[in-house]
This record gives sequence, structure tokens and C-alpha cells, in this order.
Amino acid sequence: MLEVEGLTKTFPGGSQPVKAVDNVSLKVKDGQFVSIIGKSGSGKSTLLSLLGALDKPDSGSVKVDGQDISVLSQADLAKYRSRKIGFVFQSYNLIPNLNALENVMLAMELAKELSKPERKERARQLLNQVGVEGDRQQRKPGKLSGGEQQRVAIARAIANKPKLILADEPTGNLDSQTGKMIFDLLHNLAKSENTTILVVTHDLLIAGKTESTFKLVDGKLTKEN
Amino acid sequence: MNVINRGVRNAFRNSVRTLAITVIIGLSLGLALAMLVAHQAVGRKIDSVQADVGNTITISPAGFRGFTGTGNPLTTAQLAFINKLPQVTATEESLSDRLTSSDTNLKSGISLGRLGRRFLSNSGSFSGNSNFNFANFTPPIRVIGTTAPTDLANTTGGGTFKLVSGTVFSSGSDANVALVGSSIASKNNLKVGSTFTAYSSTITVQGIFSSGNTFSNNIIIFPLATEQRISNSPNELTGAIVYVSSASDVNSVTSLITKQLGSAADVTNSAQQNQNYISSLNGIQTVSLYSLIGAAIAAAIIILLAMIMIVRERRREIGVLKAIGATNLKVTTQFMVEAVTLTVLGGIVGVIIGVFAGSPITNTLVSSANSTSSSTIAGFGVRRRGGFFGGGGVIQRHGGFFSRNISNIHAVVGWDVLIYGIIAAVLIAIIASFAVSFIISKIRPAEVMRVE
Ligand SMILES: Nc1ncnc2c1ncn2[C@@H]1O[C@H](COP(=O)(O)OP(=O)(O)O)[C@@H](O)[C@H]1O
Ligand SMILES: [Mg+2]
Repeated sequence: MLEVEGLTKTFPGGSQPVKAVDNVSLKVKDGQFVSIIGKSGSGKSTLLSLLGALDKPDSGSVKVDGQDISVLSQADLAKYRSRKIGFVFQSYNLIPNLNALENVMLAMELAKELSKPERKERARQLLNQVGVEGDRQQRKPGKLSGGEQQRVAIARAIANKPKLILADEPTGNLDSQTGKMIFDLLHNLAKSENTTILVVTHDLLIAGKTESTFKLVDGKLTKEN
Repeated sequence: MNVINRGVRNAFRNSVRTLAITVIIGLSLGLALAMLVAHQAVGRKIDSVQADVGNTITISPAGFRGFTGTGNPLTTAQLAFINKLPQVTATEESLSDRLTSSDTNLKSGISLGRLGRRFLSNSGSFSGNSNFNFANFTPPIRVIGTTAPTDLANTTGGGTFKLVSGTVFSSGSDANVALVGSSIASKNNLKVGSTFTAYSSTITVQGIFSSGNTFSNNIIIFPLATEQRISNSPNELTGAIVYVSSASDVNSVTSLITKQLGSAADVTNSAQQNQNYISSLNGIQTVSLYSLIGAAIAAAIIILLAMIMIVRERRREIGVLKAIGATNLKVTTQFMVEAVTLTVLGGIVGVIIGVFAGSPITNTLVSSANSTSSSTIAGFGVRRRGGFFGGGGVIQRHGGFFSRNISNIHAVVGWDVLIYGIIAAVLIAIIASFAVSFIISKIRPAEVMRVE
């Protein structure tokens, strides 16, 4: 269960402060697949970074399984990001100097739950599962296509069996066909693993396929359906 | 894959940059190590100079030195206090004189020569006597009574005592015996057991010595007490050498003795004689120390700037590491490993440079300093050209300054230099990493949400 209450984040803008996230409240049940739509600059990325504890809100609370993340220490925040959250970014954000397998293994190393051989075995399975197979697993991100990189990123995001996957325009850099495949991959995962997924998207077609959709306008969240 | 593995791999991520950083750090660390080598070599030289001649004090009657000069002799009583000083380990006392033809039946081993004539005609006793017959004149023979018969450097003015035949008398002897220089012995057909006359006493030759130089080979050495008795100069002294236990006490003991003896004596010490030499060595040491520190700081600044550049370049990557659960400490550790790898590589290059450059740099530093001190050496050299009577500086410890050619300093690269090099590299890297850890901690993981 994800519970968000009165979440607000303000940035110091040029002439006046920008309320990037303005008093946002929402509840998402476990295993739900939710989309957030909104124009560029409406605060979608800011909202996701608050949910994923990448940034601190000015006010309001984020509760995951009843635990308020705003009271966590630095070390516990790192643990929260590592074990409870899986991120998928628009620009993939893989570590350039590590190959696909090592990128996935790194996420598990930081979670400190599996031994090295176990990590390697699981990373291999995950990559096979997302369709990055054979010698592609040994390639560095620079030698993979955008779609392949995003598959690796998804494998990394689900590696530690997180409660919540936060995907910020995961198909934004991909052509529509590849984008659809990536979306289906996320969708299937949500089904099979009972993982809650929040996906930010421009693509209304994609949004239409999710269980519920929210819309952000100037930092204010409204439920679409 | 762990944090160390990643850090090391990142160090080789950009081969051109890795090479550039390695070479630059290598050059500055190499310079630092070469300077360390020079510093150590010069330091060892200073120690050996101070240990070698740094603990003696020379006392002469005011206005008299060795075998020549004017003024009144010192007395045993005047110097008695010196042996009671706690810093003094030993003293050697001597009384020098010249035997003229009326004092002895011996003939000098060397002829008068032009120098002898000049000094004779310049001296007051012969001036105005234009009829003086040089041909009939027998050059006087230098004699010395001493408690240290074999220490030619301090008694006669130089050379290494080598017993040709016979034995050496004990330092406290009062017998009518003598050690005769080889020149006099052969000129007068003296053997061990032969006798000769001095101050109307009959003396037995106990030994014949050679010294390696003509000046000392033309000397007769008596026990101090014997010389004082037969020359009718009881308790008189013309010189003393005081040994001080530690070189650091030399100056304080010198001023103590100077104060006590007042205007009766000239008191000098070997430290003063070597002061110019030591101060030029100290100059080299200072230069090498500052260069060492400067080069090490340069290496530290280079790795710091390189790490700042690398961290800024990998801002996004650092954000990603944090976003997927890495702590600041973990990220900093990874960069620290990278910095250590780069500087250790640079350190290895530096050690190689240091090993090859240490000796030439030491020589360059020393030879440039040598040209400033050579004038001092020449100055001393003129004074040493004392002739027949002018044995200037004779009783001073011989040769210390002159034989000590400044260029025989040996730069040695020890294991310690290699270890210092690697430790310096690691320390520098760790300090640089702490500095960049601040930048790392300031990077907000939310930045990774931004799209380039
Ligand atoms: N670090 C920041 N500093 C200042 N303003 C920011 C910062 N991050 C976002 N903003 C502002 O907050 C608003 C919302 O941004 P963002 O969440 O990135 O929107 P979206 O992802 O919907 O395009 C924008 O006006 C943006 O300029
Ligand atoms: Mg955005």
C-alpha cells in the first residue's frame, strides 16, 4: 500500500518560487498499475523523486506499508531506495563502465541480500526474462540499443523484488513499437510479481491500458479514471 | 564486482587520461623522491663531517701557532680546568720548539732553500746583518713534546704516523727518548738505539717514523714531560687539542675555555673551520627539502584537480548510484580506490624517475653550491702554503676541510625511498578523495530524473 498525504515541493524559480508538487494526496493498492499523465513541467518527475526518496518534500508524507519515509536516516534511505523501490528512467541511466550483467548485479550488491554467485545467476535469469540474452549480457550500455538498455534497466529495477516500481517516461526515448514492448514488459511484471507500478507517460494509449490514471496540472494531482 | 574492483576499473576507463595523469603525477612524485634522495645524501654528508672533525677544540698561546709566532706559552696549570669539564673526553698537550746548531749535533733533513732564506732574512734577528752567510747556516730542527706522539695531524701538522723501526713511547713517559722523523734519521745516520744531543741532554732514539710528507719527516717527537724538562720549560705548553664527547657541545665548551683563558690563548674549533662547508650543505638541504615539499604538493594538487574533474564528469553516474541505493560512503570509497590506483601508478613511475634522477640531481645541486664554496677553499689554501718557519695552522687538525671534496657525496636510493614514494602516493590520493567526497555528498540523486 502506497499512501501519499499533502505532498508539497517548491523550487526557487527565477522571479517567484515554483510549486512543482502542490498538496498531492493519493493511495495505490499493492500490485496496481497506475499511470500519471501531464504536460511537460507539470511536476511528474518531481513527484516520482519524492516517492522514491530521491528528494525531500517541503511538507506532507509518503508511507510505504505504513512506514513514513520522511523520518528515515541517510543509511535507511539508501536501504529504502535499494530494496523497496525500482527506478526506470527515460534516459536509462545504466552505469556506462559496467556491462549489462554487472549493472543488474550492482543493484543486488547494494541491497546486500545475495551472495556473489547468487547475484550473477539471478542477473542472468532476469536479463533472459526481459529479452537481453547471450553475448548482449556482456556488452556495455554504449553497445546496446535504446530498447535493450531500457530492458536492462527494467531487469535492474526488479532485481531486488521491490514493492514499488517508479518509471519516468520509460518509453519516451523509444520508437512506438519498442515503447509498446517495454510497456508490455512492465505490465506483465506487475501482474506476475504483484508489484505496484507508477508510470509517468505522455502516451495516452499507454495510459489507457493501466488500471487507473492520474493527471498532474501545475503540481496538482487529479484522478482521471 | 565490488567497490574496489569498480574503482580500479574506473581508473583505466579513459586510457588517454589515465596515461596523462600517471605521467604528470609520476613526474612530480619523481622530482619529490629525487629531492628526498638528495636531502638524505647531503644529510649523511653533514653527519659524517660533524662526526669526523666536529668534536675537537684547538688551543694555542695567543699569537703562536704550531712552530711559529710570538708571545708567551700556556701552562699546564692554566689548562688543568679543561679535563674537569664533563663534556671533555680527552686532551692532548704539546710543546714545540726549534733546535738550533748550538742545541743539537743533528743536521736538518732538508736544505734551507729560497723559502727558508726569505723567512730568515725577514725575521728580526738577522735583519741588518748583510754579511750573514747562508751557506754556513744550519737550518733549525723542529721538535715537539707531546702526549699524543702518533697523532701527527694534531702535533706536527699532518700525515699518517707510520713506525719504520723501534717502538713508540707511552704518552706519559719522562725518559730521554725520542721518535725521529725519517729524513733526519737518514741525514744523521740514526738507528734505533742511536743517541744524539738535544739541549745538552743525551737522547736515545726509540723509534723512527715516516709520515708521508717531508714537513713531518723532519721532526723529532719527545714525550711532553721530557721536552719540558730538557728544554728547561717546566709546565709550559704551546698547544692543546680538546676532545668533546658530542659535536653539539663543541661551541659551548669553546666559549667556556675562551672565557677562562682570556687573552692568553687563541681557541678555535673544527666546527668553525667547517662552518662554510656545512652551511653550503645546509643550503642544499634546504633547497632539496623545499623542492621535495613543493613537488609533493604539486602531485597532491594534480590528483585533487583530476579527481574533481572526474567527479564532475560522472555527476549523473554518482546520482544513479545513489538512486539505486549506494550510500555516500560507498560512492566515496569507489572514487578513493580510483584515486589511489591512479596515484600508485603515478608513484611507480615516480619511483622509477626518482631512482634514475636522484643521483644526477644531487650532483647538480652540489656542484652549483660547490662553486660558491670553492673560493673559501682557495682562501684556506693560501694560508697553508706556510714555508720553513711559517707553519701556519700547523697544529690545527690537518686536512679536514681540504680533503673533504664536496662532490664525493653519494646519492643512494634505499628501499625507504620506494616505500615513502608509495606511501606519499596513497596519502595524497586519500586526502584528495576526502576533498572530493564533499562534492559527492552534495550531488542530489533527484538530478538523475533530468533528461539531457
Ligand atoms: N532542481 C530544480 N530546481 C528548480 N526548479 C526545478 C527543479 N526541478 C524541477 N524544477 C521545476 O519544477 C517544475 C516541475 O518539473 P518536473 O517535475 O521536472 O516536471 P515534468 O517531469 O512534469 O516535466 C518545472 O517548472 C521545473 O522547472
Ligand atoms: Mg520529467
